[in-house]
Amino acid sequence: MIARKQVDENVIVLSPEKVLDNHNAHEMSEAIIQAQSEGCKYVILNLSSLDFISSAGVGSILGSVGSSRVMGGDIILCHVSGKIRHVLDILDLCEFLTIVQDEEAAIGMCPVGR
Amino acid sequence: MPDKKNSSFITVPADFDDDSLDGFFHELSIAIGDRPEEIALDCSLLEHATSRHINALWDALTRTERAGIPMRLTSVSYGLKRVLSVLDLAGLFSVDREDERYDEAPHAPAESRPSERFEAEMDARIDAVVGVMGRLHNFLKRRNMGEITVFDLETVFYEVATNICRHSGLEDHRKIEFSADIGEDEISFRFADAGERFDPTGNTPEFEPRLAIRRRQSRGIGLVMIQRMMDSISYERTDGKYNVVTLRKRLAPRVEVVE
Repeated sequence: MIARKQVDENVIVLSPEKVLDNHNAHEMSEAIIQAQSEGCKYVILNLSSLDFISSAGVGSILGSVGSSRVMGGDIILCHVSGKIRHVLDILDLCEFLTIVQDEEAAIGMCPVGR
Repeated sequence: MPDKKNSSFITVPADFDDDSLDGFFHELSIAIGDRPEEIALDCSLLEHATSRHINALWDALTRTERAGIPMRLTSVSYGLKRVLSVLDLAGLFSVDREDERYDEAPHAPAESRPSERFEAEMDARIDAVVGVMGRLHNFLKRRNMGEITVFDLETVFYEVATNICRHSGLEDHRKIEFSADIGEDEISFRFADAGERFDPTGNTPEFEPRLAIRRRQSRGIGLVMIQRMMDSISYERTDGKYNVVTLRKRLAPRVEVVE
């Protein structure tokens, strides 16, 4: 299950639970696509509960970063644990993704209320 | 967790065919009739959890709640915890924190196998893979490997096994054989299956992060992760019908603790 928290008409926070793998990666893709279709240019992924991510999970995030940027927004990752960052590092993705410390910093990067 | 004075213990069977399912619920009914302070379901025989197990646990929870008797799960494997978590059910079940007994499952006594070898046979289904992954986690965790090394090895196990499930054309009930061997300075994984020829080393896509983002790449990432998390990977087709994938990873030298 992926928790949703609408911050602003342009910004939403999605929080997956402990595991993002073949079982539920499609849920993440669908949640992001739905948020984008509702006009959210900025999707914040709060990964504070995430303990394991498979390639399918990484793919569900990668697949939507491009479309967010085309809309003039972004996918922002926050609360990324050492293990999850390790996977992103292995794939040399860290410098190409927007990763910040926490949700507050992520929201601060978005044009909330502007 | 210390056991309460008046607890009823019921072992959840590993194979949930119709007979064992009836037997389990019969035992549960008797236990409920005895009105204990709590009912504990021993899950130590569950190598992996199928939808039938989950449905039965859910049913048992409903029955005990209806009777007003608390129910908890004991000796829960990492794999079962993960399945409950993925299904968003973890919060509904009271689960013992420690699952030490899991490693003493009667069908796989620790003393019957070499201490540095782990073997498993699993159905070619993703939920079965997750179940074995939990046992592998326990095996690796007991060998003082670094947290990231254990994480890499679990991830590689998951990626290779799920690749086999998806690409080998094996029906769900066909088996994947897996073994892990720890040597002096390396660990090796071996996967064998009798599915269609599938060589994970033969068609590794280029992975360029900027392009991957632009092209919304979602395929081929697992193979890249496997190759980068391990030091070598090889494939052979044996006897014209078995896929055998062998992976190796160097391990940091062991440090002996002198007290």
